[in-house]
Amino acid sequence: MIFSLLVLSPPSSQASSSAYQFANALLLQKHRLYRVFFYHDAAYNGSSIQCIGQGEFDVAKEWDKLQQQHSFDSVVCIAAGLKRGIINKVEALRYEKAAHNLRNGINLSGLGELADATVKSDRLITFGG
Amino acid sequence: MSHSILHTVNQSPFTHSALQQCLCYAQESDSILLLENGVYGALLKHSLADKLSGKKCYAIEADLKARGLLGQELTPHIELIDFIYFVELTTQHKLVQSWY
Amino acid sequence: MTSSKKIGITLGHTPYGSDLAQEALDATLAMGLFGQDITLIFWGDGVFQLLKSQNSESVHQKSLEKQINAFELYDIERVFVCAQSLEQRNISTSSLCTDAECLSPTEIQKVLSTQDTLLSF
Repeated sequence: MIFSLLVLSPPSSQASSSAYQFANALLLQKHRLYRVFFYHDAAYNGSSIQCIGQGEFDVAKEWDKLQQQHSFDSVVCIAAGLKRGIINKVEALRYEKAAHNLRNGINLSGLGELADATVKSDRLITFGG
Repeated sequence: MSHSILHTVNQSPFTHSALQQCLCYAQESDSILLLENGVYGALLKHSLADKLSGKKCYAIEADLKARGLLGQELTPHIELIDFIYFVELTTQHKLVQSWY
Repeated sequence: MTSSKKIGITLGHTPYGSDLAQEALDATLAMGLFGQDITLIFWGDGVFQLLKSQNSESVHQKSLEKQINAFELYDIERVFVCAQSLEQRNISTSSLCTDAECLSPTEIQKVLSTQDTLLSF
């Protein structure tokens, strides 16, 4: 089956880690992961500059590894990201911001990507809270 | 099975109405999965336990274990599962509704 | 974009306390623009999003009411609200800003079962 995930929770919420574990489990079962769409407070998952304490689970890093193994599409909603300070180089230039912090491998893109994922996937699972 | 819904609940029923609402809209053929703080719903004798026992119900074992709940008296018909089985459940149900 | 699917968007959270309700509406309108076949279900605390006379300028937020009134412009015509959730909150349908169709939980179950996918907000 083709899956996409709509993630709404920040890394500080367990739901964000559940979404990762779900993605990992579906890929282990040879299902396809079409897209992970980070929306609402899940946009914070797109930051490359959080510093995780030693021995703590770094969910962003794990997403990164999973994506490198399975090359699925990862998108932070551009509107949700920008208002939370998650920004790439292009947008930093456009808005005249001094820095950018979007993780490699993640795209900043619009809600059309969520609509597209909804249409192209057999299952879309929401992780919120 | 093809028209049924898997309801996921990730909030404690003692502070949040997610489980209560889920039970209001879940049909006989639907299933309920408790995860994260939702697993507190597996504790016996809270006001929703009777309603819950009428539905096919699952809980993420790791979440119960993490919270020290495996040694507690749990609603007996709840099946303890892992994420592999969670994925399996989403393929067996046509829809997934997340309550949070 | 391939052929459209029946997409149910469920809305269960209060407006203004967080921007979840606002972002859910943004997603809804975007889905509408992409020509998807959308059904909206307001239930639980989500019914508060439909109250009329919202004046959110005082809390520095965009009014949800104005956006909800724009649904028709986006071809979003199937809007349902849970009668039981309204009753539990002592809200009459005359207090709603849109003529959403009132359904019992059983009727909502039927609507849900005809969808191809659900987005839960």
